[in-house]
Amino acid sequence: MDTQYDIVIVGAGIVGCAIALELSRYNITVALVDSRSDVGAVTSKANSAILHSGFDAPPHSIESLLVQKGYKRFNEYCSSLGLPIEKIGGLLIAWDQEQLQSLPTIIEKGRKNGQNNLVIKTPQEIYSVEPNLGEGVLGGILIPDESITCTFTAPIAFATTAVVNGVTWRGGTQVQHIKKENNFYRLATNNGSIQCRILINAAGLYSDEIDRMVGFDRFTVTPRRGEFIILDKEARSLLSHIILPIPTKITKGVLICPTIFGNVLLGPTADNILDKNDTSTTIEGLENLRMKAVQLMPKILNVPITTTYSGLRAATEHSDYQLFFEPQSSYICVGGIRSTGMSSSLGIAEFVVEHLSEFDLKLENKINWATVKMPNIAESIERASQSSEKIKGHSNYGKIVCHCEQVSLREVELACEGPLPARSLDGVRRRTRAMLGRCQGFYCLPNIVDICSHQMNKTPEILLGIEEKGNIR
Amino acid sequence: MSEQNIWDILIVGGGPAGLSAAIAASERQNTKVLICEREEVLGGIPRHSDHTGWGTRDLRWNYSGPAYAKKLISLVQKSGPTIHIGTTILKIETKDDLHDVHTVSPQGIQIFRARVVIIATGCRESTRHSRLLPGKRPLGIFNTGALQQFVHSKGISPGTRAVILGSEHVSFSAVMTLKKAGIKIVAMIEPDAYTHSFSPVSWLFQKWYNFPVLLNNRIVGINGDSRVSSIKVEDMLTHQKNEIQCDTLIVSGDFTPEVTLAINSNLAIDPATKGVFIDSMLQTDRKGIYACGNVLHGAETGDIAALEGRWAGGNAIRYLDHQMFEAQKIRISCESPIAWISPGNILSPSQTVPAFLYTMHVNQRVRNAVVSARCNGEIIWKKNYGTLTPNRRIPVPVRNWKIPAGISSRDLIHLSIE
Repeated sequence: MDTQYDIVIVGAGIVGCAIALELSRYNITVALVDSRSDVGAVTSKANSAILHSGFDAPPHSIESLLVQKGYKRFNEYCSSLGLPIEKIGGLLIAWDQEQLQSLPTIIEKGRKNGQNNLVIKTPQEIYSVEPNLGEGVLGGILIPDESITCTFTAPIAFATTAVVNGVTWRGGTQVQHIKKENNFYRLATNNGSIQCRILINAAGLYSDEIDRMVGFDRFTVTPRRGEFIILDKEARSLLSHIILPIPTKITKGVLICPTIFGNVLLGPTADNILDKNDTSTTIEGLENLRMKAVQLMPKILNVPITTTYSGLRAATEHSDYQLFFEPQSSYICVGGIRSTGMSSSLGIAEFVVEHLSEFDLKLENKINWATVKMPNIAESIERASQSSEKIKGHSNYGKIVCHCEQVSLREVELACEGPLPARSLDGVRRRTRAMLGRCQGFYCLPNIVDICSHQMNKTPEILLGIEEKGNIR
Repeated sequence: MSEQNIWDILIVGGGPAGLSAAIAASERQNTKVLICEREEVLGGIPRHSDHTGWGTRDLRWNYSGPAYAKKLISLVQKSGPTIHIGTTILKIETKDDLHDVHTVSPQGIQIFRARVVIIATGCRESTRHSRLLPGKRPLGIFNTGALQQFVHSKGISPGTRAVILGSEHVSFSAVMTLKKAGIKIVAMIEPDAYTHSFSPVSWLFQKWYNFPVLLNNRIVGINGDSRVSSIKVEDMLTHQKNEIQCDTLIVSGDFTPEVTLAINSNLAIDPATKGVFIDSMLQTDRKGIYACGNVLHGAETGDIAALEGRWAGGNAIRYLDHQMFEAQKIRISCESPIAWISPGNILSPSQTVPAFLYTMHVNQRVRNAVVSARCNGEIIWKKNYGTLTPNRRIPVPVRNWKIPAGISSRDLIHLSIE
């Protein structure tokens, strides 16, 4: 028999998870569906992890409105959800005359986006707070509200809260066909058929394909790949702000910023590609980033590299988000959320709930709705293994299994439990930081595979992606 | 903290270097020695490096890795130090020549106070990322260290068809481990025009285990979504690209010292070796803190790490007995292709140091290498080494150097290849 829901959200990236969170407040049945076995496992895990204030969005755009809304909500929810935020501020740097002359325009644009606290800074002022910037700074703008957060914890926190409040999580479920039948949708998946009254498309890179399955043809996602380099924690003391480039007509530019784990991030590149699955880093891309660092902050070239990765932005031929509310068709499309998705996610979710009043669905608040607080994995806040109290409560908090990132056995055990448990090594990585440090698993990987194998009741071979001898998954 | 709660010598790390330091320290009567090891057992890397060649220089016997670890542990136990396993050291803070060592373990967060700390935290191989190998990030990319733990400690065979990147000694150690795990070796990739291990070893292994060594090749892509499916290599002479089907990539060698503790404790790092900065007594830039083994430099064999451990342990005793005297450090600067020398300085007035102590590495192969040391323009030593190869130990007989009398820290010794 088919499972039936009032609403199905297709796509469990940061946007789908945020919508699930907001919908979980109401007395309706909701399912969150994704082809991956975990939430936030594609674009939402591979970005710059900056919480944008929205100062440079195109004024009067949907994006501008929702980034501002989302930024506000993110800050409101952070303490109850356990989301770490460091409001370290951004510094937009002008390296040439053209960029310098564009500064007043940027201030004006910020104003139009509701950001009235942007300040132009002289090179002296900039070097006094960022003495390690390369030579040749001509001026810049301080954007006090730009913040960094944890791009791993956010979608997991949203989805966990949603699941605890009754939303059904259906991972590993790929939507293959969508059929409208009378007053409901029937979704054919690799995991059986699912019915719903209202369909929400939050499928990110695949949002154009879902839109077409529903019967529209409005936009095409052309992935824009961004490559990143994460530098060793040694680099963290070299800078205190998010160092932003000024976008020019030719390029959006490369930024450098601290991460919530205490590293430094350099990136992204921007290449339009065809394959929605191609998250490769390239020799050219990584070299390009290193060349950029020569101008931005030459000192970081001496710092060892901890990791490299690339993420795909769901860019379309349109400059704005592709939001469509179709009460006639009982369908909502939340597509083309390109690079500001984390900042806007909660704004989008609220926007979706507001528009649901146009749909044939009665929303009543649940009585016992509650948020779930996530364990902290940020560097600037006390970690479990640093807390005498925690270790006294459970001695496995004192058993370090990943030494580079100071992750305890207890944290890994807990990541494999709960309402939204990790089902893979990557899931454990994003919930605990284990294996993300300097050694990238040289020391800890075999032990963690062993622990996860017991916790998840899966063979080490399956965890390592080998089904059986000679048979590669 | 009362006097009796102060450890005389606290050793961080229970591998060959740390254990040997403990053995040497036990020569002193009534000395409280504590070894802290983050793992659940002592022994370190040799425990899961199951081939022979361990212990020849320090124990004068050819052991397998696990047997060598066992032997060192039994020697330590005879000497009777206190051992804390499952104990991670976070940082060392020093005040009035006493060192507060911050630890975390299932017992909680504790601070141990010690007169001498010996850091023996070893090294690790550099990762795929730090080498900027491009491509996707599937499962199946391991260092030799992880591979050997999987196979020897966990009994897990982590793949079916493997490509090895690198041709150092450890790369051939990976060959043996892969073979033992029943994993087929598809190829060994080496960007240089020569293998970094001994040529006979390389030749024998290729014949014996039947795999090609692709010299002058570099990795230009890693494919696979969930698991590695293939890697793309480029012949740098012909620029021809090839795709090799495999599910495992072993990123071997290119060792880097595990200096996290040293950095968190604000100890100086030698920019050339990337290891803890030390003098020829193996004392760091802070009085009473010593370091030994591979935390000083990329990987030397276990027996050299052990000999360094003994030297550090012996010096720790002399320090406790107030037999160490102030000396000036004269820096040794290295000219490329010499990558580094460890220790990177000599002491004046000169002190007797063991023959094995000074080692240098080159960053490319040099034939007919005549290495010379100059002090203020004067040649103080010269030696014809024949062929020098990267990632190999090159002993430097510093005791034969003709150090001018009255040399001071203002002087500089310059090491170069003529």
